[in-house]
Amino acid sequence: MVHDRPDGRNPNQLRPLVCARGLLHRADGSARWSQDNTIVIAAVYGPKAISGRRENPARAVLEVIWKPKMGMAGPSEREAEFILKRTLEYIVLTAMHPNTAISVIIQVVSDDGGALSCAMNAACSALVDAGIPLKGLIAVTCAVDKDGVIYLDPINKEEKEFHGHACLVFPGKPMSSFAPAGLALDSEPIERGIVTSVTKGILSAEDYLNCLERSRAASVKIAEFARSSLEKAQRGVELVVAS
Amino acid sequence: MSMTPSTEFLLAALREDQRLDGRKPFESRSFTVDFGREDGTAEVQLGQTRIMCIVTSQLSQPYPDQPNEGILMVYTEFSPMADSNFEGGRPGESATEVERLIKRSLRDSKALDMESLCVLAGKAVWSIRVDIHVIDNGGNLIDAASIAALAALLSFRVPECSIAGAERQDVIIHAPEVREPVPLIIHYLPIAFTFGFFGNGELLVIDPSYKEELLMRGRLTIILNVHGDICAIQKGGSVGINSCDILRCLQIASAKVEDVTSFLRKAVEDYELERTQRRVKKQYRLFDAESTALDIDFQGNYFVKDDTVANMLNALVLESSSDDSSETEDAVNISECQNLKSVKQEEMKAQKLPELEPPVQIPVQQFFSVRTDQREDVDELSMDIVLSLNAHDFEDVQESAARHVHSRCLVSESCKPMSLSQHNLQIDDAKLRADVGSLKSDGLPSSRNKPQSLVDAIKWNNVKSKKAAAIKARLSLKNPI
Repeated sequence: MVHDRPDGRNPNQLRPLVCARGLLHRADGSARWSQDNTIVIAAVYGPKAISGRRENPARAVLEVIWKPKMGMAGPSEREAEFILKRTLEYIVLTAMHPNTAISVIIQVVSDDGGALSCAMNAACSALVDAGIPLKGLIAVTCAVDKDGVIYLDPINKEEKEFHGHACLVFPGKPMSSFAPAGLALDSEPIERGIVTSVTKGILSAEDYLNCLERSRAASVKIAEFARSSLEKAQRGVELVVAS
Repeated sequence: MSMTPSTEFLLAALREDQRLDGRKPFESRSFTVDFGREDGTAEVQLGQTRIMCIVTSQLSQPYPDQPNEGILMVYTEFSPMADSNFEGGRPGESATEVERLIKRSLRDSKALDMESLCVLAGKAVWSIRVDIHVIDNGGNLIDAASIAALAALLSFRVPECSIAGAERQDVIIHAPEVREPVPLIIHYLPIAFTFGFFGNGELLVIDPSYKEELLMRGRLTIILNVHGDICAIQKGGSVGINSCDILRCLQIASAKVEDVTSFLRKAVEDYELERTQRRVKKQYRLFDAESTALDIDFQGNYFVKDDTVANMLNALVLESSSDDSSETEDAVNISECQNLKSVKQEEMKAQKLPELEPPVQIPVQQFFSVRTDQREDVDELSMDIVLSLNAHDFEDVQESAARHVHSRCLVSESCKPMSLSQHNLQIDDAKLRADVGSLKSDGLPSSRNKPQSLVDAIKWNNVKSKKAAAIKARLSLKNPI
């Protein structure tokens, strides 16, 4: 069966990814993540002092602010903030900075489908850029199900025609600091499990499991990309420092 | 957390005409303007300040006391992203000040033509909404915001609408694919210049940076245009300044406004060129060089998309025939793009040609306005161009370009398409190779890696189009027609 996507990709293909870090001067960490026409900028401030009833003596408080491209923030923005907060709480080692706040601010520059997953990827990169201690990275992809066919990384047009839509967050591949000689039978020591799953519309159980499998495979690619982009940036810094 | 610099140090330095970042007192920072993918999005970077502006439009009812004029709304968002002291929610007084200044300079001084936004007097007018997001606060938000708003307005397009219905009361808004949206009418560009005052009002600087803003005692903003008209003067802050100092600021601002205006206009022009190229590319996005899907099952893809090729070519013909100037511009850009064909697409072209169906020929002919007896060559030419448009590979350019040029020359001799021959169809092989070589060695980021930022992408396109324009100029000198 020939699959016809408006931008000529096949169902298993992701849009080209671009990640730029450290673009803002005031923020402690920032990243701009773009998946073709969906571009999101994330900025991180923290850990910074917080006072009042919000402070938690055991761990850092994570707050997320989502700024839409235009207009005031409404209930869907609040929902996105909440989802992001819970997802990021999984990877940030909040116990290392008690009595502080870490703010993540997301600005949507343009939205052509998959803004939530793009924002999560951007937030993760921004947290790395800010030097906030993390347990691991996350990689987020979305999938759309139409007539039993799973399309990865849908654009706006495809999202409108979907039957079921899933946004899935997976833990990125952990890289151990020592050679894992005989650590595991599995050649890829990926943490198994889903961090967050947000679905919309109707998905049959089988389709959802298909989505999971496809998205997991895609998330490995995204995690590799994020990691290599970070390494490249670090190497650039090292070169500058060395010279 | 940045330390607040000491006032004495700043004043002492200023008395010796030195600023904290090494500038002279009347030296502004240079700025860059980047445009987004959609019309009406612009991002301006002025030193460490980064401001993004988005313009959208909506049809709405006019104000009762101005039934013939459109509506302009400006919203400024001092995002918490820009500064940890900024709070979300309602804009504070500085945000409101920026908002009002921009709105006054655009609407009250009649820079933006509001009457052209009227669709049906008293019933339907375009309401233009300008959203200014401050992303990074590096000082002098007003100037950067004014440039960002202007850049976004210059690049914005309003959808075209027509009046229909029995009583001529219904408004039909045409989708951008059906009718090309129209740009806004902006008579002149009001540019803002902000000055900061220190001490007792005797020390002036232009374009204060973040640290200077923390310590300055007063601020003067002058908004003027190239013709010397003052659109707004706004002074705030506790310290009083001499009237001759104000005049001095006016003189300095009027000296700088021309550079800023020409830079802004040039950036918008480059964006327009890139936009036209992209519009043409979009029609042929089926053959995207980046997508590996074509390797896997391109045969399948091709067969499915036969009709869609015809439809898209038809659509392109409709578009281009409605506006003559855009047609020639498209032809120019196509011939510029043809320099970038990749080897992969060469192979695909060789395999795909026999399957081309007759219905495709007709719109192509209209587009290229060729004689009917040269049908096959035209198809070859059109398919070449169809396939070449999305190439990104500089690596293979030389060999494929040479091969390409050879086939191009054959075609041009046989059928001499009239609109294209004025542009660079008769290409000198060696000349093209030399130009291509110089293009490649320009130190541009290799196209295999996607540009890391929008700035790089725009720069890359700018150089590309400049080179293409140079090639075109050189060839038109060679072949005066």
